[in-house]
Amino acid sequence: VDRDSFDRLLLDHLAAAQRFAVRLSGDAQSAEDLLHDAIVRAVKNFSSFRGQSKFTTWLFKIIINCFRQRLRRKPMSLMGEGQVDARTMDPTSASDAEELSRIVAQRISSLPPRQREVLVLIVYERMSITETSQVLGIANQTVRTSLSLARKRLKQELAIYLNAGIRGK
Amino acid sequence: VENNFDNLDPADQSLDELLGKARWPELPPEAGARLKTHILSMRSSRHSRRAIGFFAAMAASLLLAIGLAYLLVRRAITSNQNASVTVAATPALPFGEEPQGGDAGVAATGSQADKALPGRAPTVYEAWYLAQPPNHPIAVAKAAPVAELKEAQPADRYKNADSPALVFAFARESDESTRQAIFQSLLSRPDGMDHVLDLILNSSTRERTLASLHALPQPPTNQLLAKLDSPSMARRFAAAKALGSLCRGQTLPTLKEMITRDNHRREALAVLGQCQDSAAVAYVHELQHQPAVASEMAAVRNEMKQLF
Repeated sequence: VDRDSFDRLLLDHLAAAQRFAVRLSGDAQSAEDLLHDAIVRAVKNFSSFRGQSKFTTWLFKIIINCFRQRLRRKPMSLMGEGQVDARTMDPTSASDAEELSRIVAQRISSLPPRQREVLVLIVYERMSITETSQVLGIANQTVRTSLSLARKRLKQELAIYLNAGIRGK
Repeated sequence: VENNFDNLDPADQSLDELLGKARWPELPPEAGARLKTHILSMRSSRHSRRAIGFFAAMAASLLLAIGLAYLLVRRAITSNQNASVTVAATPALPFGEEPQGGDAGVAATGSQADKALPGRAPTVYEAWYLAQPPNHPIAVAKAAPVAELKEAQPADRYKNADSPALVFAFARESDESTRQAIFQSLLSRPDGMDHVLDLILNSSTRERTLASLHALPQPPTNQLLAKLDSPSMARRFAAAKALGSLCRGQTLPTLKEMITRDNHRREALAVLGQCQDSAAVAYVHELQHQPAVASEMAAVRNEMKQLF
């Protein structure tokens, strides 16, 4: 892939990369910083993309690496600032769908990094176990385990909404 | 198939529904624009880096070419100088002797093109350099220093020589005009007269020295009279010999006064004894009637005979 084609690919997939970065980092500002680093690294190593995999797979791998690097430099708290602890909320007060959507997103972005990566890639980026394992560079079984742990944790943290939903049905 | 979650319990289905409702904050449009600008700026900076690299390569090539040209020119100049030095050193002629054949130097330079050079074979540039026709500026430049030496005047040749070198050249020089030029150069030196007197004292150079003195348009009579007061007795008598051979009438009053006042009388008598001028001869006859002076004159004549 020559440089011009690569730039076009990058611009075409910029929106998807933005969504992925926001889901990983949890807020817009961190997502922009993360994407900035990822773009620099992607441009620097554009020759390593040979078109053997999907461009998103290659680009997400770089974003994941940058994300991990940023976590190492400045570890994020599992519960970010301004985030609401769903366990302390009154379920009846969260009846508003928009508020619930925000709370669920916050809980996902507060998961441990590995679980968060697996969950975002599988649930929101619609990747298979194999693709996820390629992006993250881990075994398929590790992907399954991480996914299971993530779901278990979310079930506990969002239990009041789950119970309300089940009862509603 | 891989993501087969059919065996999930109702709680899992509810969780999936909840996860589907998750909404993250959208990146503002400005952020997207900033990222696009960032991508494009990296592209332009890459182009500018490529341009800088291009110009740096051009500059390096230019510097390399200049350096190469400098080395070639320097090499050519050095080889030219070496050739001139060889030609100048080859004749090894006696001092002041003209080279046999006026074009000897030029011929030697030109003949180098015909002779096989010792050592390595000439480079292409050296072969071209030696093969220039005689009227080519390079060939003219090669011959120039030799031509200047050939046309140099004899007087210019001895302009910067010291007195001993001039004495040596005067003694060796066979050409009369050159010898006269050397003699004049010698007399212009501060210690030149002492060397001239030494040449007179030397029997092998006496005649040619006196001849050169006579050939001078303005003989140094006053300098010779002053040398009658030299601390060296031999030089005093050599000056007397020279003055006597010149025998100019205008020195007679001075000599008479010296004898009358007994001021360097012996030297004055020595001068008069050598002089063949009629006035001087008459004065000597007159002095011979004075017994004291006559005996002194005889003693001086004996001393002069011993010296010359």
